[in-house]
Order: sequence, then structure tokens, then C-alpha cells
Amino acid sequence: MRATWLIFKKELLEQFRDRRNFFLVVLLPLLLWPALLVGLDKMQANQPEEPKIAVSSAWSQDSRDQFTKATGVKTYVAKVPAKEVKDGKSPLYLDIDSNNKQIKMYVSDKNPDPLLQTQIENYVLKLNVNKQLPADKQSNWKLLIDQTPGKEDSFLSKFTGFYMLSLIIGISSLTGGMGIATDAIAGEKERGTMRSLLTLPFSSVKIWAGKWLAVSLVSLISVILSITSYLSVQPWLENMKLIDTKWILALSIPNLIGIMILLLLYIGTCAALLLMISTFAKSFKEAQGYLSPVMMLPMIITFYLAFGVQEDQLPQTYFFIPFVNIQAVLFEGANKVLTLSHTLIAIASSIVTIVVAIYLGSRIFKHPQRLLPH
Amino acid sequence: MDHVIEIKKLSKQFGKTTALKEVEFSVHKGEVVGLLGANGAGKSTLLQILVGLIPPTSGEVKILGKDVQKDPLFVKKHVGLLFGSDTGLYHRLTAYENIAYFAEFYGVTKEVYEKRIKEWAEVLQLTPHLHKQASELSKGNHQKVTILRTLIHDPDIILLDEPTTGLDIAASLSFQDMLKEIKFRGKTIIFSTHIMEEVEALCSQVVILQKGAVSYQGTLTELYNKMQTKNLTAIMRKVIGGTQNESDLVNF
Repeated sequence: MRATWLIFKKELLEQFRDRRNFFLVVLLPLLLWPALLVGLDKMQANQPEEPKIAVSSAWSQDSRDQFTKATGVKTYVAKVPAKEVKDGKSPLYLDIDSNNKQIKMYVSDKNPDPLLQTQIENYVLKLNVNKQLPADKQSNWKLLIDQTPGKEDSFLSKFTGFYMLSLIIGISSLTGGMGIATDAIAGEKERGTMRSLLTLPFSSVKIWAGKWLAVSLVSLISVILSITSYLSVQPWLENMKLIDTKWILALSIPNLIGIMILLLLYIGTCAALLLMISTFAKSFKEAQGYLSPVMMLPMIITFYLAFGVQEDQLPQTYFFIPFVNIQAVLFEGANKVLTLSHTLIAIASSIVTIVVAIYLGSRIFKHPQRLLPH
Repeated sequence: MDHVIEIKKLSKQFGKTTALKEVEFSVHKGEVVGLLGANGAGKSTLLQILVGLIPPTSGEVKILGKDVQKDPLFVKKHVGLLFGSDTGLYHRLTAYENIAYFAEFYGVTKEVYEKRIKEWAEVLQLTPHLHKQASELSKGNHQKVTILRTLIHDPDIILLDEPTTGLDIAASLSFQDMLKEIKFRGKTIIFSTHIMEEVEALCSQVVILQKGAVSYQGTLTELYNKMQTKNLTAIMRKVIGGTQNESDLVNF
């Protein structure tokens, strides 16, 4: 254990003296994520305020004009209003039954707009006070609310708590460990210190283990800083809908603990992967070249889950797939449908993955031909 | 134990390139052996095989009676290897930390390594630079740190690949004095160099490698007699220049 501990200590000492790594591990999480969140918040605030909603042909032009005047919401007559909601052209649609004094509001089941709904409810209340609508002079109007199949949320509104958190965890685990992982093997090869290290009377597995622990710890620090900065910037955000994190509080304790275990396993696997890539590279630059595409991996998975999956609950297979499983768990957690069995499958799969990754990483490191220039 | 290093029919191929061809020689305890040869003759490869860094293609190497391939950790514990000019240091550690880091790996106590660093740094005029980061050191001071790092655990066998590269004359001479003192304490040293004065000053034996094969092993006196000159530089010029017939040199 002495060799592993010494390597671990030295790697950390070197990294904390490295300004470039300080940027990747500390400054990036503390500055980038809050800046990104505030930017998204502003984008959301700048979204068009005037929605246009579909109404049935039963609405007369006068009724539509009165509605727009009272609510500021423009309308358009659609032949099949339900299709407009289904296609995502309108957030809801309104039908009118003048004979029975009813306005029916069909809201999207996928993407409801509570603000707009409240506006319409208020409109009906006003209507009953003022009795403005020509079809009725005596009795009160009723508002009936029903659901209609709607379209998934827009691109921007997909950045709910899950997507941002998923991106932050995925990217920080890799960017946090990237500097130290490239330096720990490819950098040592380039500087010529690797050969000296391999002359030490310790198995290469112990040397690798020290490096792996150091990379894992630095990644963990980066992830913790990222999540902390992500959560701490929330009070300054005015349009919380897009980056809402309340779902985390709704998680059951076993699921919350499960996600933390998954996070540790994920970080450890990422560290092993980074070190493997670093072992194959001959120089620091080459390692960075190989690692850049790997950074895309969490983004691809997140965006796939965000826009490629229609259901709230995912098929069981997602929880077996390495790197996908943690994001799948976060996805279901955000949709409040996460089951403990899915969390446990993801943990079991991640344990297998990390064992394989550690075995492969240390095995690749055992071949001096990969570590020494001829 | 008579021989501390025994090499039998050692060969190494890198793809189609033959780096070492049936190399065979042995070294007694306390000897200082000069490993000579042109660039690419196989000196560095041989030293790396001796410490178990790279495996041989065929043949056998025993260090202190133990097979390097079968018992690499034992061998590494008793050997110190200094690489040539491409030896690296950890740039963000100080010179002192670089040396101490390796000492701790070998289980040398802080008290002992602090004393050794202090003494040897004084000999090599490194003391003012001990607490500078390695990235701030000159090439010569960089090499002095690697020398101390190699010797810090007081190994029984010391393998040095062009150890004085980058050292000024004063430091080179101090280093030679250090090696004489180490030899006096019964340590075995193999060192490769292109500086013949160092060989003449330190070595009791020489091994000359030509294109991966041993073309001479023996004492310097025997070599002088064989070549009918006491000018080692001239001898090596003939060997490296190829004007010397290989078969004329081989004496075993």
C-alpha cells in the first residue's frame, strides 16, 4: 500500500501546483456552470410572451377579438385544434359551446402551461362578472378542462433539472480528471519520468492504483464543486422552470443513496477510462487529442435521453448500459418515476463496469512497451 | 557470491531491428565496468533489460543470483538505474522533493535520506538549488538531481547511462569522486559513456558493444595490449568508425 499511497500523494501535490489543472478542476465548475445557468435563465426570460392558441371554428371573430383584448393572447382558428396541440403549434386549444355556456380548455398532457391556463381561468371569471360574451346575457359561463395528447417540450425547456445535472455530472467527471490523467501517464512518458517510476520495486498495478485513486479524487472534487455551484446559483435565477431542482428533494432516501453510490462508481470508471487512454498516448498532446471526443460521450447520452426518448419511464436495458445507466436513473428521478429496482440494476451494472475498467486499465499499464520509448 | 551480474546469450529484437545479439558477460562484486559503443549499439537497451524494464527476446539475466524476469521486484530493490539525457524529473516538485519521493519508495527513513541529500548535494554543488522546482533547474542541475535520485537508496548495483551528460567539468570530477567512494564501499557499477577519460579514471573492466553484440570484454590493460596503444579514444574511434575488425577484438 505504501507505493500506492506515495503515488497518490505525489499526483495530488503536482496537480495542486498546476495552474492549468486548477482551472479545469476549480475555476471551470465555479464559473462556467453558474454562467451557463444564468445565460439559460435569461434566454428563458426573453422567450416570446405572447402565445398564440388554437380555437375551434365555433368561436366567432367577435368572441376571439374580445378574448384577445381581455387576455392579450392571440388566437387562430384551426380545423382540427387537437392536432395543433399534438404537433406542438399551440400549447392548448379552446372550444366553445354557446348553447350550454361552456368553454372547454384542452391542455397538453406533455407540456402544460400553467400560466396560460390561469389567464384563461381569469378570463372566464371576468366574463361572468361583465357578461360580455354575446351568447349569454343571464347565466354564468363554465370552464371545463380536459387533457389532449401534446408534443414533448421545446429544446430550451428540456433543460430542466435532469438535463443540466446530467450534463454537469457527465462533463465534470471527465474534465475534472482529464488534466491529471493525461499528466499521470502520457505526461510522465513524455517527460521521461515513467521509466524511473518503473524501476521502483513495486508492481505496476500498485503504481496504477495510486494514479487511479488520485484521478478519481480530483474528478470527485470537480463534480462536487460543479454541483455545489449549480445549486448555489439557484436563488439568483428568476425563471426557475427550466432548471428546477425540486425533483431531487422528491427522491426517496434509498434512491438518493443509490444515486450517490452510482456517482462514485461513475467517477471511478471515468478515471479508469481516462488513464487507459492516457496509457495508449505517447505524449500529453496526443492524449488530449484522444480525450476530446470522449468528452462528447455524456453530452450525446444526455441529449439522446432529452430528445430521443418520449416516455417518462425507460426500458430496463438502459440501466444495464455503462455510462448511460447513471443518466437513465437521473432521467427517471426527474420524471418522478424512478424505481429502486432500476437504481439497483444501475449500481450492479456499474460495479461490473468499474471492476472491468480497473482490470483493463491496470493490465494495459503492465506492458512496459506501452510506457517506454524504445 | 562471485558474480553479481550474469548475462547469458541475451538477445533483444524490436520488430525487425536487432538491438542485442547473444550478449554474454558477467560482473564481479565491487567492479566498475565501462559499457562502451557507438550510438545505437544497444547499451541503453542492455541496461534497461538488466533492471527488468524491458523483457529480453531470449537469453537469461541474473542479478545477485536472481533471474530478472522471474524476480523483478527483488532486482529493482537492489539496483539503481540512471538513464541518459532523457531522464525526467517531476517539474512541479522541487529538486529535494524529487529525490525524497524516490527515497520513500525504497523505504529509506527521512533522517537517512535528508543526511544523504545534504552530503551529496554539497559534493555536486546542488545545495542552493535543492528547493527550486525542477522546471527552474538548468540541464546540469537537472542531471545532478537524477544522480542523487538514483543513488538515494544506496543500491548494491548501480547502472548509469551517460551520467555526466550536461554536467560541467567540476561537477563531473566531483561525480567521479563520488563513484570512487561508492566503489570503495563494495558497490558494483556499470556505466555507459562516450567520455573515455571517465572510463580510464574509474573502470577496471570494459565491455564494448558493436551492433548489439559484445566485441570485447576484459580489463583496460588487456585492451591496450591487444590494440597496441594506450589511447582509448583512438581505440573507440577505430571501433565506432568500423576500421577495426570485429573479430580482432573479441577475446572470449
